[in-house]
Amino acid sequence: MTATGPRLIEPSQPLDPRAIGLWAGQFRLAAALGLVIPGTVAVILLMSGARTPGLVLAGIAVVLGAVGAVLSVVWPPRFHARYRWEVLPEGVVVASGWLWQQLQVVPHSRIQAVDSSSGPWERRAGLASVHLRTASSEGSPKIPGLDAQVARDLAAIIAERAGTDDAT
Amino acid sequence: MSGVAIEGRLHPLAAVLYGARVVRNAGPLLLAGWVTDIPHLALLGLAAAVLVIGIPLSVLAWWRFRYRVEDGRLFVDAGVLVRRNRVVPLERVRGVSLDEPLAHRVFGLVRARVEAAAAGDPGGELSLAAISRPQADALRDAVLRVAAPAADAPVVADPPPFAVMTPGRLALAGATSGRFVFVPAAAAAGMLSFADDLGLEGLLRRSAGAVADRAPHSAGGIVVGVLAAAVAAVGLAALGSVIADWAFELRADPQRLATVRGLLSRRRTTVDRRRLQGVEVCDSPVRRALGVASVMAPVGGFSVSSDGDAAGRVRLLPLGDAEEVARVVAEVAPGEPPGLEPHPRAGLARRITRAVALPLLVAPFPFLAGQPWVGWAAIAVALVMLPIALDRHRSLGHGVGHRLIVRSGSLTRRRSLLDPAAPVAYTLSSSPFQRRRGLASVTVHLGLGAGSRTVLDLGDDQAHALITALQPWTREAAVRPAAPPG
Repeated sequence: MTATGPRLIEPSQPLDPRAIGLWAGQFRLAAALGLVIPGTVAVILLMSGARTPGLVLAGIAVVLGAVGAVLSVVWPPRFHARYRWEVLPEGVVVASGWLWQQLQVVPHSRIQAVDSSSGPWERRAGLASVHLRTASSEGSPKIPGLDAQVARDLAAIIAERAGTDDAT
Repeated sequence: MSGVAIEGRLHPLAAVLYGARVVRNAGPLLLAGWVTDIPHLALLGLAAAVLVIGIPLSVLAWWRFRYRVEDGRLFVDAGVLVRRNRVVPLERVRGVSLDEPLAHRVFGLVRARVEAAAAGDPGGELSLAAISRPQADALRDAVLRVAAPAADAPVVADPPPFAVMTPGRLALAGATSGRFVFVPAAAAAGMLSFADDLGLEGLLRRSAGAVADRAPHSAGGIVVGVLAAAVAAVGLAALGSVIADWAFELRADPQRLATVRGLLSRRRTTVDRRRLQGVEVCDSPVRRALGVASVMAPVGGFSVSSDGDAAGRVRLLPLGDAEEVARVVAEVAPGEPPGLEPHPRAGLARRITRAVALPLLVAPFPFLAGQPWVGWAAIAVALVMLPIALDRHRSLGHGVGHRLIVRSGSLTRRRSLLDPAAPVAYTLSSSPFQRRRGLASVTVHLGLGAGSRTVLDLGDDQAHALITALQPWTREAAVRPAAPPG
């Protein structure tokens, strides 16, 4: 087979750009916790004279904080750039993952339920996630970081197309 | 659809089984109490209380349990303290399995389980503790006849066996199953924990010491000992297989497949044919050398996990030669299967890396720590893994036609012939390492607990061609036509 063989469609719809800020914030929080919690213990250890374990723990705190800080800059825009979705007449296609990439394909007739949800972080940013549930949990794509209104419309459209079959 | 109404309750002896369950749960506790310094009179009082409460509860549980099939639905009402009423639409029923544990066989009773679809719900399976044989057959027919629309066709109560297994064949199945690798380990672990429970650890250690003293120290003696242990382990595995699958039979009628097996407890599993998502042939290097293989079928919404049948899979043939395997496969998936397209050579490096990387990474440390023979052992493992990696690469293949065919694995090689309409979702995935070599994997998700099957390390173009062949609407050109020529 040559390069002219059939290719899968690249889904066209991006997530909301506000998702980048949301994820970056979550990473910064995780980085801060990774720095502060072992850091505090390290300070207590050092003050109580346990030099070696204190220094090791301080090192861990610095590494966790630094990795989190780097990831908060590097990961969200790349993850956002790769995450795409599209609703076609026959089904839904979702592309995700930055390093470990996935392209998930689900025919409408196999979707059993559509969940939309928004956690406290997402609600504050006006975002929501849509989860397309099939009879297989692994084969149930998730579309996070959508504008809340877009998510509602998307869930309604997909639920309408999914039909009433038992979808197995 | 009304009509087909049957109703019933459990056999009165079910109350005895419920009672036996109470004794089984309370008995060990009371026994354990006996050897402590709790006054024996208090324990006897407790035992009496268990009996006084337990017996009426068992009878009440039997009295409250009723089932009926009516208007295309199965109703089950049960429960003493918490009343449960369950309604299962018969279209959602995936199959009925009937077992006969030893105690049931003595009284001619059957335990029935109705497998209903409810993804991820452990209560999706519904169990009837003990009913009589004719009741069980009536229930199975009532439940499955509505599930199959051709209700007018007379359902053959027991079609003649389609495939049967001889004890010799079963022994071979056990001996070549690879299970014997785990039998001694499991037995040793079980014995250790048992000894630990009883405070016998010291005794065990002393007897182990005694055995060690008597153990042969010459090289020849060790070889003989190891060989004897291996023969014993293989023999045990063969015996286990003969007991579990004694008189295995596969029966087939136009609507369903049924297997019956077991020496001590007879297990009968019935599956609606439309729930079979395909058929799989499994073998191993030893089985390939002998020209034999086993046949399984992935089934959605089927949670039977009694020994031998993993959840989501039903065994159709424990072991057969090429001709028998082909006959069973053709029964489920008639027609010539599509040919296997090999996967690109670029994937071979990944198989080798996966097989030898870990032992080779570990190997230097024992040398540094002054335990060179551990290091040599790690290198030996890597050398053994190398041909397995080559074979794993060689076995990879897939094809699409009126079936989706997928083959992978070496020590357990599996060739799956799937109904192309069976998967509920598809995933094309690629790690950075795969992309560097122009590879990708495709996973088809079967749903309802039947798991997924992965087509490993295809060429990127093959992966796209595979999904677009199965779901043509995902083709890029079909959605956005290329600019017209000229």
